[in-house]
Order: sequence, then C-alpha cells, then structure tokens
Amino acid sequence: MPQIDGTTTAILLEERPSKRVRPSPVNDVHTGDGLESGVKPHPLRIRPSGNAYTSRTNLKAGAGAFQRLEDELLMSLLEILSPGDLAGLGRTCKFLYAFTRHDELWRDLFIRQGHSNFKWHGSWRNTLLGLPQAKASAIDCSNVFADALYRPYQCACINVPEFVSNIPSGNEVPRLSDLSFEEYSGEWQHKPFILTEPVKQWPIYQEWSVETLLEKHRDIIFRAEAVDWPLEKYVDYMKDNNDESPLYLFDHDFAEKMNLSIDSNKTQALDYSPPSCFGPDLFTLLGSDRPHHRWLIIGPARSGSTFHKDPNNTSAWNAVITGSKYWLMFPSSSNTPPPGVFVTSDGAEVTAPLSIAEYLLTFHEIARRTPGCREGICHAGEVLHVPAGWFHMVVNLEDGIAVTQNFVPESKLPDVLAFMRDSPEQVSGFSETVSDPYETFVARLRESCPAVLEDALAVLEKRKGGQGRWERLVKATEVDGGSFSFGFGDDDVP
Amino acid sequence: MSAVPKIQLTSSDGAVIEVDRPVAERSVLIKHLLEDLPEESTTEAIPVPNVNEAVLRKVLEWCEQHKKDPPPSNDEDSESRKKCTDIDEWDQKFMQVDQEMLFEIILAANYLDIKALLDVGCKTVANMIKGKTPEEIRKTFNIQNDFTPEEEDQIRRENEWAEDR
Repeated sequence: MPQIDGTTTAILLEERPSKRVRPSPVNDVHTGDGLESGVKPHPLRIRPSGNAYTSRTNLKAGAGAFQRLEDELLMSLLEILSPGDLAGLGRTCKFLYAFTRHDELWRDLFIRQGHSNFKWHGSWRNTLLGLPQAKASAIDCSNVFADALYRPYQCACINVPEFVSNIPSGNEVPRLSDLSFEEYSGEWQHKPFILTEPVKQWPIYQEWSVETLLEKHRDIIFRAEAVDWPLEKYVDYMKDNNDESPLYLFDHDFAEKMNLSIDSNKTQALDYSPPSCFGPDLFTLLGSDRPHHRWLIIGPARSGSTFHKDPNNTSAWNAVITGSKYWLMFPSSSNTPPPGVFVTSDGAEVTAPLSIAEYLLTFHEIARRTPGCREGICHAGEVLHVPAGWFHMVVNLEDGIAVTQNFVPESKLPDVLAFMRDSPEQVSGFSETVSDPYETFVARLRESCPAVLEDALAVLEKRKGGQGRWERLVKATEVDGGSFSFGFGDDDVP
Repeated sequence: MSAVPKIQLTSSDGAVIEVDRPVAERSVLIKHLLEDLPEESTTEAIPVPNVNEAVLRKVLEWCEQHKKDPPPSNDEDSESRKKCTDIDEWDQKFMQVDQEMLFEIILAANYLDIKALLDVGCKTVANMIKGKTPEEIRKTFNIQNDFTPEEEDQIRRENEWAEDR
C-alpha cells in the first residue's frame, strides 16, 4: 500500500470500499492502480470477480449446474460437505477445484473434528489431509474470478505496519514513564495511556519469549478461540499460516497452568504484578466468584480483537512482553459506536466487520478522522490502559506475547455498580451459581469496605437526582444504560 | 375463530397465487415486506420477480407443510446444520424433483430467505455428491473436465499421497 497522507485521503476513501464490487478496468489486478501493488498474485492465480468483465474465458461456465449459484451460495453449500466429498468435487473441474481449496472450509472441518495431536502443514487443508506443502497441487486458476476467494487472500496479505504508521498527532495515546496512584485516580483513570517503565521491571519481561515458553510448556494445552492445543502446535501454526483472521491464543487459566506467582502471598517472588498506579482492584473482593479477569495472549502478526468494550464496565491494562500491538480506541462518551461498528439498541450486541484486515482496508481512514479517536502502538515492555467503557480494537504488528487484566479501580466503582444494577442481562462472566452478581458484589463491599460502598452509592444517587433527561441523553453512556459491553461467550475473549 | 388472512403473490411469469399470510411468512423477505407495508396495501399482489409460477407453487407447498415449524434460532443451528445431511422424510419426498427444479428451489429459497428450505436443498445436492467419484459427479451435474492431462496428474498424485498417509 502507498503511504497515506492527508492530501490523498479523500481519493483513497472513495476508491477503497468500492473495490469489491466495481469491475476493475484492467485485465490483471497486479498492474492495477497501485493500491494493490504490494499484493502478490493468489497462489492459485485466482482473480477478483471484476476481472471477469475483460476476460474472454471464465471457467465458471464449465461448472455445470453449479454455475447457477452465486459465489456465496455455492460456498454455503460446500460448507456441509465432508472432507472426502469436498476433495472429490474439487477434482471435477478447475472452477470447483478453486472453490473447494478455500482454506476456511478446511479450517471448519478440522476444528469440528477436534484434533489436538497433528502435524501442522502450513494450511488447514494440508494439515487435515496430512499433506506436506511440497506435495500439494497448485493448479493455475487464473480464469477463475471470485471475490469470495480472492478477498480473504488479499486481506491475509495486508501489511499492518503500513496502515498504522503516521498516526495523526491529535490522535496519539499519551506515552508516560509511570504514574502514581493519585495521578491515576485523578484525571488519568478516564484516559488511555501507555506506561513505558513498570513492565520492564517484571521478571517475565526478562524471561519470556516464544522459545523459552516452548522449552518450559511445550505440551501444556492452551485455549486459542475454538481450539485447545498444546503450545507447541499453536506455535507451529502461528509461524506458518495464511488465515485472514489467525487464531489468537487467549487463555484465562495460564497462571495455574504455568505455575506462576502473581497474587502477592509474600513468601515467593512475583512473576509480575499489576502496575502500582492502578491501585486496589475491588473485584478481588469477589474471591472465587470473580469472572475470569486475566489472560495470556499469544498471536502472530495480524491477529487481534475486533471492536468491543470490556465486560461489566471494567477497566483493563494490557502489557506487551514481546512484539508490538496497535490500538484503535473511542471514548465511552461517544454517542455513536466507531465507524463500521453497529450496536443493537439495547447495547447488548455488536456487529463489526468480518476481520481486522477488512476493517483496516475499508474503515480505518474514516475512523482516524472521527472525533475522539485515539491510536497508539504499545511496544515490548510497555503497558496500555483501557479506560472502562471505551471501544477498542487491537492488532498485533508482529508475532508476540502479552498479558492482560481487567480490574475495578475504586474511582470507577459507581460506574461498575450502575452497570451491574441497571443492565443485569449484560453482566457476564459470572458462574451460574452466582444468581445475583450485583447483590453479591454489594454484599462483599459492605463486608470489607463499607465506606467505599457508601461513597459510591452516594455518587449514584446524586447522578440520578442531579441530571435532567436531556443532560443524561447528551452525556450518554457513562451512567445510563444503553451503553454496549462485550459479553463473555464460551470463548471469553474480553 | 377469525379467518386466516390471505395475501396474493405474483410470479415472474405473471400468475397470481393466493396464499395464507402465515404460510407466505415462512419467507423472511415477504414477512419483512408485509411488516413494512401499511395494513390496507397488503390486499395488493406482491411481485416475486425472480421466481416463476411452477417454482413458486412448489416453494409454497413446502411453506404450507412447514407453517407450524418453530422459528429458527440463529447461530447455533448453523453449526448443527453443517454436521448432518439428514433430511426428514416428507422433505426427502418433496425434493424428488428433476435437477433443474432442485436448483430453482435452492435459488428461490435463497432469494426469498427461507433458510430451512435452502438447507434442505443444499443437503439434497450434498447427498447427490456423497461417495461419488469425480467422473460420476461430473456426469450428475454436467460439469466439464477442463484440467490438462498434466494437471490431472498433479491432482492424482496429491490424492494418492493424502490417501496413503
């Protein structure tokens, strides 16, 4: 991709989103308008749908009855075939060969079969078939034109660092060496920031790399979205895949699995401890009733999380151990979700574009010109603060390891209580044995720190009385319901 | 008991078909359309420009049979859908049509947004592929073999490797 500066932005914006539907004026995409100059040809030389308009041959014509189905419909039919039938159909003609090679079909099949003992061969299809890359066929499909096949490849090829360079100065997340508890409890609790110092003191920052983790924990099973794999398998996958949205290792039991010392018990040196500025975390009062709150994150470049808010109106920090992450954030006070993100009226569900790459290609430029936008790159040894209620998207610029934790600082207690009381259906992550999370939390607070609870309830009472409907409407989400929170599903990625 | 409300649909070839509203509402497209229309204009025939009379009557026959089915729950059944190609007995009989009609039904179900019918159609095609050799699949669906002999060789070698492991 060319570098993007302010003067060319408008033109690019017009051209980019329409690329999927507009017939390309050229016969070969690789000699196109320069936007795609960095994209290598598809390994099977499949081309975008629009290129069919200028080609004399279109192999879809040979696909018999299947040529009547539009690409997406054909794809949903292929989704229900077994591996054997999918392979068989792919041997009938080039058009169906190209479609049945679509690796997401094989990813679904492989994950459904639930393997955890396998040899990774660079693609899901090769791996499922036990086929070394060198033995896999590669038939020239240059007269197959299908965005459904070409676009995921194009997305998998994007060079993320080029998209996230040239952060407009007004958007930059402030970078500080460290903060005191008092400074954080003041204005900073509401703002994103990056601290460059505390993580550099952590033993795990000195010790951890993908290689050292492999040495110690090769066979430990970690959760990566829909799969539970030994670390060794995940690292094989991480280092050699072409997925549009690579599987992201996100494990909430890592401390137990890796036998880490995190919670201070004073007899043992800690492997890491939360930066001191964040102060006491009130959710620790929940003890074993607490929702999952800390995660080990490992992922390749391009992996990450699409736009969401963290659960239960909690704040979070995310510390990069190796690699670097790009953050795109929008404040909780925004009345509308970020560009390209749609939230149901009750705030319970969010729809974001399919993948991070798709977002960068279509919405990123608009997003960075939207008021309130914050962007930052968090490097190894640094930690980023996600204030409660902020929408955020994160993407790895390179392979990397991180640790993240959700917490409730005292200063945010009123907001968390309001959320839990007023939007109980959106509260997530609690075990089913906790029938009323709000009451449970209040009871624990009353036991351990009644004064803090009284202060928080007083703030809530004051907000209720002190604001008219109009003020609450324009001030939006901090107090009222209607704000969105990312819930815990089965794969509780915050 | 009040009478079931009726609506009219016009097929691509101009036939006007009267049908119980709940039956037509198996189509999410028609359901949403009716919801958006003011009550008095639902007496006018709704054009269905992508579907001819024969196919539309066939689709409505399916809708009549399945009018009491519970509405589909969204995400979960897309997973279970992938896992099995079982089709219930009535649907199997219903799908005993020539291939032209089968693909017409799939296209109509897709256009009218009748997910359960689309599934049955796709499963029927999947069952026609099941266990067949590439040559048998070609014959069944009139597919042209456009691989060069060298390419066929490449695919055959890959296939042998995958089977031998």
